[in-house]
Amino acid sequence: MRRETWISFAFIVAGLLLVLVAWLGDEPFTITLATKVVILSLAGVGLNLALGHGGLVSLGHAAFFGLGGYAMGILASHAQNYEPLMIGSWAMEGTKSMPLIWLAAMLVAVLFALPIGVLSLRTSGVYFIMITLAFAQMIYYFAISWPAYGGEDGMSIYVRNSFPGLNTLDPIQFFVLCALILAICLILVDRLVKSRFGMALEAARQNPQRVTSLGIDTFRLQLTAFVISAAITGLAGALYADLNRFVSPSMLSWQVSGEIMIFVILGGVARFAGPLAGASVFIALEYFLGGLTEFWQFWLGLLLLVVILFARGGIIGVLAGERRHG
Amino acid sequence: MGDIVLSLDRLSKRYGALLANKDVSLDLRKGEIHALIGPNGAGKSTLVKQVAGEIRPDGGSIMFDGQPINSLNTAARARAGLGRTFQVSSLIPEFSVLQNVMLAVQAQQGKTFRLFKRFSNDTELADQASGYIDELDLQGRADVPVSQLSHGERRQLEMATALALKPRALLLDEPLAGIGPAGSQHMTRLLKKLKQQVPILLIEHDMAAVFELADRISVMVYGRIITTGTAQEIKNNQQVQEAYLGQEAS
Repeated sequence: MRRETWISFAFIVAGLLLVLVAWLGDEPFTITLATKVVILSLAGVGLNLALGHGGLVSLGHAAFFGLGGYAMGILASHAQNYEPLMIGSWAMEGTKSMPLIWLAAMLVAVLFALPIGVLSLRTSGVYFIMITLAFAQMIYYFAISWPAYGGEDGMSIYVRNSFPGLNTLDPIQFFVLCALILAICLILVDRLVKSRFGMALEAARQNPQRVTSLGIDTFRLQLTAFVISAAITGLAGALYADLNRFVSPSMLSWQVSGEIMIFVILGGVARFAGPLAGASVFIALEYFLGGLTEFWQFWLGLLLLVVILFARGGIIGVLAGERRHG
Repeated sequence: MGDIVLSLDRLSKRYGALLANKDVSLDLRKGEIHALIGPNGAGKSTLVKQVAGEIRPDGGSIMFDGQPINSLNTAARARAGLGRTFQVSSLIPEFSVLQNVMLAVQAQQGKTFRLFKRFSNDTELADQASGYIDELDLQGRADVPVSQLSHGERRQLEMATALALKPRALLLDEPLAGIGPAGSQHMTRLLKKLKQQVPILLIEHDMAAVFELADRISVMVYGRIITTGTAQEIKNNQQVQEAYLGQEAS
């Protein structure tokens, strides 16, 4: 096996051991913190596909994260209030079933990502960053000014949604559920980036002119990657809202887009376990340093600066060395 | 006179006051190398870009394999069988030689949207790609990343990827530029071999190579083609000597 595979594997095992110790020692808070890491990693896995492999630097992924959160919030609030959800003249029951909510979250993310992608992919570089940011901000302000679902205050869901056969309110069970989803998405994305599609996407990032001259439509490649990426981040949003049993416009804010991007860059752009490493370090800093000083983000900024200046491959890159293809 | 694969009919392109191409007509027949020569700034690159689909002509039409291709974009023209290499070599820098050619084979098959089949284990792609790598004398270099290739090897690799698209015509933009005398000779040999398979429209500055390779030569000066003929005819053409060769000779 390659070195990077070992490091990723060791990293995941260490995380799972930590949770195991917390579970045996009856420390639900640690497990919840680990669940947060898992969910945020999932959001990063989504962005990593677009940003790392596709070279599409989206500063608007909070839109999909928040939309996933709102998909959960809206469906669950209708279920808990026993009100049908009216879409035009068509009435739909709310639901507390996680699988249905996840499906809805991904669907909503895809429906938004398609037009956003079609318009944004006409640009590149800094314009792409700005236009994805602009779309996310539009959705953010819409959520703030839409009173039906809590407006600026957001809304609470009193009981965590259900998954057949599990007690999702038990921290360890919810953790395992989230970790399984992350594992599935990691494997799917890994297969995807190593497929013919993934290689073409990678090639289009490095030299779009070349790929076009081979007769491959780079726009279709990148749009597909962008939409899949959004769906994964949307799914993470639904899980995150479920973790907190709360959704608010802050999930849609550009700071969240920035944070997801930090997970990817800190952990290692286009690395298998990059988002995991990035989100782990980020949450660890937030928790431990945040306990010591209000200014923990200063240290985060410093770390990010060091990574960008001296370690382009992020944490995984430092440990595993240069990236190879295929 | 053989079948015509590619024909340009009175192509024109204007950039503001500059008339880059004026009523350019030429054709490419099966089994031949048709070279386009001309001094710097004559409009050769503009012509190549119009044929490849990177810029739209202001007037005139391009027929490829009997079909008008004016309305096709670059990717569609490539799929239709118009292969090309670039003046500055254009490859996927982080990929190996093999991966670059595999990507071209996959593009030719049109199966890029296979989302889950592993690329690196794809023996079908790799086998075909190896064939093209051998053909361009790159055997033994298959796993070398592009960033470690010499300039001449990059040119060979570009040619291999162009061939992998199974083109029905090749558009080669200065394939001999900057590869040194030995590389030049090598590439000339390869091109001679290639033209049996696929007709080539060759844009080239290296006169010795052009006169050795080309079945026909067109000379472009100030955006117009002033004459077309065999190497011998071009060498003896008074107009050409004044406009072009004369400058270098004097």
